[in-house]
Amino acid sequence: MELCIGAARLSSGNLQDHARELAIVERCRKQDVDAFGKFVDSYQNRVFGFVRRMVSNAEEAADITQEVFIRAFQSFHRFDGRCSVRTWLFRIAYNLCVDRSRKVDRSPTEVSLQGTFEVDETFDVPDSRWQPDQLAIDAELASAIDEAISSLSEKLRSVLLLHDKEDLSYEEIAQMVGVPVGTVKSRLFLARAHLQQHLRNYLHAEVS
Amino acid sequence: MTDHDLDERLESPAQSQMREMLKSMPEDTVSMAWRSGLNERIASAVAVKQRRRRFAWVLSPALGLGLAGALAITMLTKAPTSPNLGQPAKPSIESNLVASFRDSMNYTNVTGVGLNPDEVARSRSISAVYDPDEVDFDSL
Repeated sequence: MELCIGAARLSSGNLQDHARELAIVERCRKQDVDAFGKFVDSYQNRVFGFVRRMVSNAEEAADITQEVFIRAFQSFHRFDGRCSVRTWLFRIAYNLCVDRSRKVDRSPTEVSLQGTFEVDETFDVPDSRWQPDQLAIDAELASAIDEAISSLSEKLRSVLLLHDKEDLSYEEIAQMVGVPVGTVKSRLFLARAHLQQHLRNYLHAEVS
Repeated sequence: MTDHDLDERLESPAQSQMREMLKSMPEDTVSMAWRSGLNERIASAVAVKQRRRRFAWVLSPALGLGLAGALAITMLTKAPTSPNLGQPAKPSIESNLVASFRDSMNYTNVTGVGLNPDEVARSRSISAVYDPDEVDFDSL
């Protein structure tokens, strides 16, 4: 029970649990499997969400997310604490996604017969069970947002997700991606503008 | 566009709306099967690490012992060589002089004052070749 509460609080980035997070990180650095389990509980959904939007394939995203945590476990002793553990983890995830996209670019393209991920399984909108019409609208909007994100280039998509979804700072993203802060801001601006353009029908409907 | 302009544009209502929209998207969830698979992979990674550590724990002292043994055998089987043992020492001038003096003293002690054995031998060899003083004139 305590494990779940801790995990939920850690994932929300609450300052009150900063000390607890530090303790967990310290134990993870000593290759404590139990502590690493708590660490995974805290971040698994966020990392999976980021990776799924980066690779647009749920199965592959699940594999890459596992690889992210395996890499994190194996190299936790090298984590020096200069950046936050969240930044460090998302850097591993970002690098793996970039590696994967490079491999895909080099390999011949494959056409999936199963289509893309199923929206109904992926998005679980809370507290709207008794409003089927609202549920349908939310699902459609979520699907449209996902579609708009996947239509972005990898550079714009990564900056948009890391900043707007994962709350990383411009400096952290710049360090992670390896570009100046100004470039990060430009990419973020372009990504949002593209998203706005893509979702204009939904935005007008929302306003009206 | 300056950095300040860019910051202002990023804070515009339209851009903020996009940010809020992304933030409000529901969180993805991974399945229990996924978590189970991850736990298995972590367990196997731990096992591999422990095996390596154990192997290193056994191997490193064994390697050290082996090296020490090889070194000891090499030291024992190799014959001790002294730089002066194989070659005779080259006599110096002083030692030659001393030796010559000792020889002459010995000869003097044995043969008395006068001739020493070397001188006798030398005089004999010289006379054997030609000595006008010892020619027997009567026999001529």
